[in-house]
Amino acid sequence: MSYLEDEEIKILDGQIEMLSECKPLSESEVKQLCEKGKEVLQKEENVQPVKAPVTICGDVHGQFHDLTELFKIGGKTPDTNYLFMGDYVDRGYYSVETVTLLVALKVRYKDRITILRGNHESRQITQVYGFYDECQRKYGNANVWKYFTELFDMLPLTAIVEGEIFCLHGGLSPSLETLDQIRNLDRIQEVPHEGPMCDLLWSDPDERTGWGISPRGAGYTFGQDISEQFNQANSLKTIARAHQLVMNGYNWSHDQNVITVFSAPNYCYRCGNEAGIMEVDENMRKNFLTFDPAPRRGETHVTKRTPDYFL
Amino acid sequence: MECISKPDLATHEFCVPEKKIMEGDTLHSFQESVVYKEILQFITLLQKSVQGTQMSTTDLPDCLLPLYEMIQKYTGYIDEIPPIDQPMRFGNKSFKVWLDKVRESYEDDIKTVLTTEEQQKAIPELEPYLLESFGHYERIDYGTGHELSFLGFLLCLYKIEIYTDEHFAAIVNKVFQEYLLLCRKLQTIYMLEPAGSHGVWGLDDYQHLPFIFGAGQLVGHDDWTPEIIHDNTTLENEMKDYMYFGCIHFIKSVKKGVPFGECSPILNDISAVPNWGKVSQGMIKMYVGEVLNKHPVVKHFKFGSLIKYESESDAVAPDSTVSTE
Repeated sequence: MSYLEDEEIKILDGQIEMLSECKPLSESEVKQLCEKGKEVLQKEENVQPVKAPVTICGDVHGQFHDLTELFKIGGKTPDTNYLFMGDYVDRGYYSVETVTLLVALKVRYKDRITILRGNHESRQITQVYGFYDECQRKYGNANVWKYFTELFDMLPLTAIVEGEIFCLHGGLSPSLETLDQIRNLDRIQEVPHEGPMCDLLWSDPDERTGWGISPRGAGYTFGQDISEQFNQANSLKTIARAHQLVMNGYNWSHDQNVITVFSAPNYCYRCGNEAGIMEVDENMRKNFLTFDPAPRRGETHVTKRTPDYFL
Repeated sequence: MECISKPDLATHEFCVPEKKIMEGDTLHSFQESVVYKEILQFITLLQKSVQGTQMSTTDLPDCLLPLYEMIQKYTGYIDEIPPIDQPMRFGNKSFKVWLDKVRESYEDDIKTVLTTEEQQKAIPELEPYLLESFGHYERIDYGTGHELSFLGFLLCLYKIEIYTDEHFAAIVNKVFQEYLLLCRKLQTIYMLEPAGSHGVWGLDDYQHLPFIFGAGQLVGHDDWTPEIIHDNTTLENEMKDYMYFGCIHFIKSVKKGVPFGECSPILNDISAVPNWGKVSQGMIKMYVGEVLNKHPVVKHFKFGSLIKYESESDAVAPDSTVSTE
């Protein structure tokens, strides 16, 4: 039994095809898509269970053409199952197209793709780091930004693959020792400035042991002792997270207790890093794939718009 | 014209600067502070001072020579401390070694800049402004907050009369330009992460001030409209003289193979602004909106006895009034 009507599937398939060519949907189509997306997402859990095989991905940040490359390397949805660990928007030129495509895929294949919340899936952050401006530029108003940021409130915070790999955007929180404590959080809200929900989206692993003050000004740094303790207490093997640029696309830390995956190659067009994705097969074996930006075909259609400061 | 307040060095008591803008604070007190207006005034004066000037033909006055040489010396340290080749997350840890070396030599170096005993009392107060202007030691990143710290350093030097108004053009065209070249080298060699970058939706991943000063140089330059940034030959020929062209050229050399309008849409937009006067004003307005009025940036800024966290109504000294035009 499908939760989508045939007609809905037809429309969605058409939209996915458009989006795959980096063509944005109309404002009203985005509105409808987000309504449907919210319905799907709010039913998911704070610790969303995910089955293997699955391919785990990190930050994308509006680098649409690189997301296309990711699907080319990792396989198409629904042939490959995906788990994205947040930060779809901001910084890149194509946040609108990127997040619309991921939400459309989520609605179309809800059991084949999991999309978690990153610290950039927030009203406050997107008003500073580009997504808001991009929506204004591409739609002439902020409605699309409003629809998406309302949907962001519904995104699950974490996922767990076969009870072994705990996936989230940032890292651990001093106020959360068990998965059950995470399950009890009320997540349907804007990302708070502090507290456990904020920490999950903002924290970073660190070489120093114990908890540390994060130089980011939100979340904490946590040492290997903390990661080991958390994995042991919750019978986990690995914490998979994103949130930090890593030169080779993936980076083990804390004696293989923590893996960082970052999926935006040559971040911000200048960092020269490779992107990585982590394939987990049905026997829970991990395999890493890395990729560089694909050579660009054709010209970008860019319009000029005088920023308010310069009027 | 009323000017930026300067202390009486004979009686002035310096202090070590501290952060005053706390998490969750509004920026209201900062925006009302005397120094907020002074920073803006300082930027505006520096921008005006370089109108119609070129970097290569600007003289370096004797009073600024030690400062200029200090920056060159720190640039030289980069060659002595190559990036290490070992697995790491991103930013190269050699940056920390470099910054430690700068910290070690700071006191001796700054003494060459501060010539009188009275001025030398400012050494501990100046230290954080300078040392925090190259990037974050732990995060190995760089952004407009670090650039602001350098501006704070230059403002302090002005207040303790290392140089005067007549040297503003040299501060921009020589000292700031040398600082900019140092920062680019640090960013490139040690792979400093762009701190809080807005990505393509920001002016630039790292800097803002050189666009303000660079646009200032070009005000009244009738041969080139802002559109000229799309002409790579002009950029290459003129970048040694014009800071704005140097910035655009640097971006294009780093972000290869991508249309400029896609990787730098804001600068692309600005190229359609009719003249450099509008660009100059806009750059300052944008600095206010995107740097000075942004909590995540200015919360790291430190305040001491020269750059005081004090509102206008708290300030009693009659000579501390400023005009912001």
